[in-house]
Amino acid sequence: MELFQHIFAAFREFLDKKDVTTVWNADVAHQWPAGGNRNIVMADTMAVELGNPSAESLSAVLWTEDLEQVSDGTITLIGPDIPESRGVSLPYAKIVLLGVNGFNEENTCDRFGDLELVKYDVDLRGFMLRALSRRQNEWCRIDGDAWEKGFSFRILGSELIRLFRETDYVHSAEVVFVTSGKGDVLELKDIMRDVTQIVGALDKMNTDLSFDCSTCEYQTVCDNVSGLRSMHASMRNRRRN
Amino acid sequence: MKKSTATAICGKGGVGKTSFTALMVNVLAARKDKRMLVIDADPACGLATSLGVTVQKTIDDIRKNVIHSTSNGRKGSRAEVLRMIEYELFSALAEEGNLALLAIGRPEDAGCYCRVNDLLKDIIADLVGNFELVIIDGEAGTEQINRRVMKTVDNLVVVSDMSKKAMDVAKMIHHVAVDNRAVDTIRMGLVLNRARSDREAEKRAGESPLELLGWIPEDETVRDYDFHGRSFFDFPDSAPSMKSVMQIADKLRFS
Repeated sequence: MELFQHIFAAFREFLDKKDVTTVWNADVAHQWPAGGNRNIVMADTMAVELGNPSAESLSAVLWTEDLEQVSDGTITLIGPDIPESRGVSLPYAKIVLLGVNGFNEENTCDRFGDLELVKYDVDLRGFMLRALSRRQNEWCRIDGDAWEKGFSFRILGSELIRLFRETDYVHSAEVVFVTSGKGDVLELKDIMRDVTQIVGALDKMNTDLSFDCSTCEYQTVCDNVSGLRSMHASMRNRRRN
Repeated sequence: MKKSTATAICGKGGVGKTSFTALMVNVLAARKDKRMLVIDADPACGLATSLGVTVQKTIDDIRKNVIHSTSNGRKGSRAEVLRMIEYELFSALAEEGNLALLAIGRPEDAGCYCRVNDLLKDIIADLVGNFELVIIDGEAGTEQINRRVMKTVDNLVVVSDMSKKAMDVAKMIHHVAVDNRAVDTIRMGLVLNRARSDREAEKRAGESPLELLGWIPEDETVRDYDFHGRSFFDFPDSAPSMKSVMQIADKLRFS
């Protein structure tokens, strides 16, 4: 079941016209130490900030069953990396592309919920993450110690790829970071707007017991994205039984 | 995770509780090796003003946002609501150097806050674990003590002025805290504000079951800072009230 095909295409177009700063292969063997519970980075020890609520931020996860659309293990950065940004608060976008299989009407909502939670499993010493999934906002801080030890988007991207690959229906994972400017993040937000809508519709199906489409604010989304209606019907039948 | 030392400051309204808290925060903030969370639990949010910190969002704002968001057709899983509160809570922290301030605000809307309050309590408990020092400027009176809000603090400081009314409230707080077992505090004590001498302070304290931690003289500098809304972070170390608060800080356990 493909929900994001048109967004994949628009996103690749976005990447093609941008100056990509760096492309890495994920280094999943290199383990950055875990932070444990002490994962708060306060302003006084912070070296770099990403996606402060007063700036722009975006976090999105897209998946496809067309595995050729995902360059497995690739981390792409557009904009400055963390090591060259000490004392800077950067606008921030993080897009995760996943090659998956076995998505259908019955499991997509649950899987969506699981994939949304993977980012919270990132536990890297000196790295703090706060995220508002509903608004696709992500706010991160890197502390001075981590910065001095070389914390970078390659380390963060590698950890994300490692975690997503642990999910049994995820076969490939690619991460793109954008820190080049507010304009680029806003442009991406525009591209990812449909993701927000589709995610909202999925979320509503997942949590709302109402099946009356005529009063639903996501009616037009379901009209435009093939697969959503059949998924909703499948859920309705499941709950009735 | 390092152990946090939590200190709550309470007392009758108008006795100088918030000014005392602001001075205490100033003294402790100078200890740069300790990270401090200051919770302005007084609905009036006067502490933030005294410290010159701008509060953009209060706990009550977060509560309203979460309730509004989850009552608009999108219920959300517990994990999602938890993450949402966590994000909002962090964005509500006003940070100044090694200090972060969180204002509780004033609940005004009707409706049930129980679920959100429970989540908030858990998240604040997690947050507290990230700070070596936690200072809580409590609401005036005995309500928060009575509701066991201060149950697990390490130090409970009751501020009173020299008036009988304020001393009666201090006695009431002691009664609720000790006799009603509303507080498991390791140390509880009295700070007398606007006293004139050791002798006067000791005499007044003798009428109270609370141990006298110290007294603060009437100080024009405090009045001046309050009057002009100046930040207590700029308060001079040489001021008599500041010297007294430094001595009181030494008596309390902050390690």
